[in-house]
Amino acid sequence: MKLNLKVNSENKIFDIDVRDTLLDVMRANGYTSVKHGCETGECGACTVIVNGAAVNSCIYPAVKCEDADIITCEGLETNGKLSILQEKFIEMGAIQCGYCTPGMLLSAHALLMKNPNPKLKDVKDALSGNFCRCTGYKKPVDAVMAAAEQMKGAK
Amino acid sequence: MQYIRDLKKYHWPKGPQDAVRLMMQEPCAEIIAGGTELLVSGLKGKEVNNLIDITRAGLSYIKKDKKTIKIGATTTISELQHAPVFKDFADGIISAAAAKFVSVQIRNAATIGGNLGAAMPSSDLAPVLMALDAKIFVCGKENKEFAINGFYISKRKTVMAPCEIITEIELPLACGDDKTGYAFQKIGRTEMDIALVNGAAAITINAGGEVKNARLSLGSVAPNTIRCLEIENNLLGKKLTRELIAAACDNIAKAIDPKTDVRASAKYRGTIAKVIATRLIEEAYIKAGGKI
Repeated sequence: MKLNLKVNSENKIFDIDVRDTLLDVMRANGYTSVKHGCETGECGACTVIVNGAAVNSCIYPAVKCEDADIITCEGLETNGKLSILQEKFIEMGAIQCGYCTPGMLLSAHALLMKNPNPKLKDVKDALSGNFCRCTGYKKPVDAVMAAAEQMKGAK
Repeated sequence: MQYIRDLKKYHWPKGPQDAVRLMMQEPCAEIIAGGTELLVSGLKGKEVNNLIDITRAGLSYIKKDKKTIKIGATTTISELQHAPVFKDFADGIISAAAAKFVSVQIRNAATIGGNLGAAMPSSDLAPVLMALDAKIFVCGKENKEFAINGFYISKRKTVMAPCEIITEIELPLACGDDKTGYAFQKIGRTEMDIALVNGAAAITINAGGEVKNARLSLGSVAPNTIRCLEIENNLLGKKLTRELIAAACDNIAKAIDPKTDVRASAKYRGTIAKVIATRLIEEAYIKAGGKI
């Protein structure tokens, strides 16, 4: 069956199986920043933004995404330039193996879209569904706070 | 990974009656809303080849009128958490419970109806809705209405018959001059984890500080969320003190039936249940304006 949707502001038509999860469809179509983790909605590696809300794509039927507006990590950069959020993750060393990073970036991006002035607890809450098994949470949280600060200055 | 190997058709009913009709037509069909329960553990041992998605069936809303607040079954946990009406209503316990509901990603997909229908003893919403004396509206061959106290029969079992779906949850608004205080508590191993023990309370007092009405509910200490009627009765007509609350909760072991699992032992749950119950009563009583 056909699935019409928008991914990173581009209109797309994907050929899908009714049984596919959104994770399957994203990876099959080249959006490999969307990572395959626990398959049970716990680790957050597969996070994508669907109509402004972060969801676990591993337990999200792709058919739910007809006409949806989807953001993946590939969509955070503009013309090859990384977003402030991505820059801050690099600058502050908020990356170890990198597997959880796209999901963390999208959870943080979804937060900042809704709340440009997050408090520390808001950032911790927003990232609480993204597991990092290299045991680094402080730096990602600091990076999101720093990005929010710089984005305020940029406006 | 394909989430249901034998899935043949995915349906989008336009309304609840349409969904019920499809359920009656398709013998191996399941209802799906957010899918966070169904696709993770709700399909075990079931043969399913049709899914009926009710998230476009007009059941996502929060409406307030003079006497009630009505919540559509497919309203997401995030919507409950952020709804302006729940910031103040009942001392914010709906918002507080929604905020403790696992992760943002799950809250954005999971729905109130799905959570109640899944009938897990660890639900954070069920104790809150019990303390608020919610009603649950169900659509099937005929429309039915249930008080949430009595809705659960056992773990993963509700009073609902096959081919019935939850359509709406109704909360009564407090009326009269008496003051009611509300409290919600959850003990979990981590922020993300489901409750080891949770609960909620609503305590109404008169001008003299005497308890006129009390509702206390606990989760994760029995096969499903329970009301603690004996403890409630022990509080009625009294001005509360710490000693009195402790005495009222003395026999809590009779009300609960905790189990040992990977998260906690039955003994631990039993001990914590008493702590949570006393904290809930005290907090709700103080919020109602009572002095301890």
